[in-house]
Amino acid sequence: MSLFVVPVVQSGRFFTPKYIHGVLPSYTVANFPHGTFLVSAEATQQQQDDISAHADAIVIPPLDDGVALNATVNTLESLDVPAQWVTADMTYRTVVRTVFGAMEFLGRVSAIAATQIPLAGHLGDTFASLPLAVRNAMTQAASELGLSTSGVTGSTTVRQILAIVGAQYAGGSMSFGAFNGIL
Amino acid sequence: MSTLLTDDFNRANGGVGAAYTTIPAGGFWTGATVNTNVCDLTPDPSGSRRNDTVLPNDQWAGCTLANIFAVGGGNDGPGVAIRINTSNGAMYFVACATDKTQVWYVDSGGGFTSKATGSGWSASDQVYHEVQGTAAVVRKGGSPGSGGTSMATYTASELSSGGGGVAGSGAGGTSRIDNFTLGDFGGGAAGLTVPLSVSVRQAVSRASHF
Repeated sequence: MSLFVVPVVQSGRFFTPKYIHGVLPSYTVANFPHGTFLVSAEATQQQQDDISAHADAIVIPPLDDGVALNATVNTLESLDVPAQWVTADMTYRTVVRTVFGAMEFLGRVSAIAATQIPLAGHLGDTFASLPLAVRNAMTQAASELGLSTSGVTGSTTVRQILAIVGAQYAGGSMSFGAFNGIL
Repeated sequence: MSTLLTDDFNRANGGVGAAYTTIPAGGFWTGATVNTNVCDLTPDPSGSRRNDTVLPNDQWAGCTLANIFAVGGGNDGPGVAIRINTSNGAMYFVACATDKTQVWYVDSGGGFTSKATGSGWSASDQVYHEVQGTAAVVRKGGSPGSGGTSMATYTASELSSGGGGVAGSGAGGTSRIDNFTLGDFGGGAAGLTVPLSVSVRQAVSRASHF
């Protein structure tokens, strides 16, 4: 089982994961910002190597390995994923769970608001400054996903909101495609 | 767990009936039709939501595959859809082919985002497309909620509610299903598979400061 972050490819009305769709027979995707997908798939070592050879693809290291702090933070931030909460004592599993949770929340917000929620250049925006429709969508999404919004006020930034939401996913195992019940 | 609707399509050829509404997402869908007592979903894309059956958020849709084909590098085939938004048609649907399972999230504008893929099907296979919370699965055989073979799983993070329907496309072949069913998971909490992360989070106090 492997986890990848790869670009989204658009062909007409279809959006699929680059290097994965049509190559690996079974996969599951989760939305990621910056035009990427997080992908769970069964892949051989050769398939992993082939994918990682592309400069715009990332193969996530073994989940129980300790994070390479600077590389992890820099990579996530380059994808517009808030990562200042990542610390050197964390494993990739904790990071993936947290980011997965934040993006699940963001995906629900986008669906409710019927618009993509831009992160690039907006991580410092405060909750109070967001359009009413987005604020309402965040409230609804948190409720529907069973998330606590404790600590979120009008001055809380988007960066902080995503960290607060994502942290609620860090403590328990979850299912994501091939990582059925074990992520 | 209950079966709330069964449609065997045993009626005259033509439109699938007044109890179905053509999927509006993107404005390019063709409504399902009845052809020789099965449901035809061959035009690319085809889809209709059952409009007389209200489903709870945790729901399932099922069918048997009547006509399917090999898609090669394509993404087609017939199947069933869940959590179809009653106003804009956003939904999750599975397209079943002899060499592939393809799950799509269709957004309100008609964009198709791949959610998951898996292995292939045979004609006459039973399809179950199920969602509980954000955990969704496409199952071959078994019964709603259990058994059979898991063909694909995905996280249904975009849509929390909606109806059920039929959907598919037949670029390269004929796409038809039969014995469409819709149901819920009510009254049968035992045996539900819910991601632990969701259980933990739902146990947390939900004081809202938004």
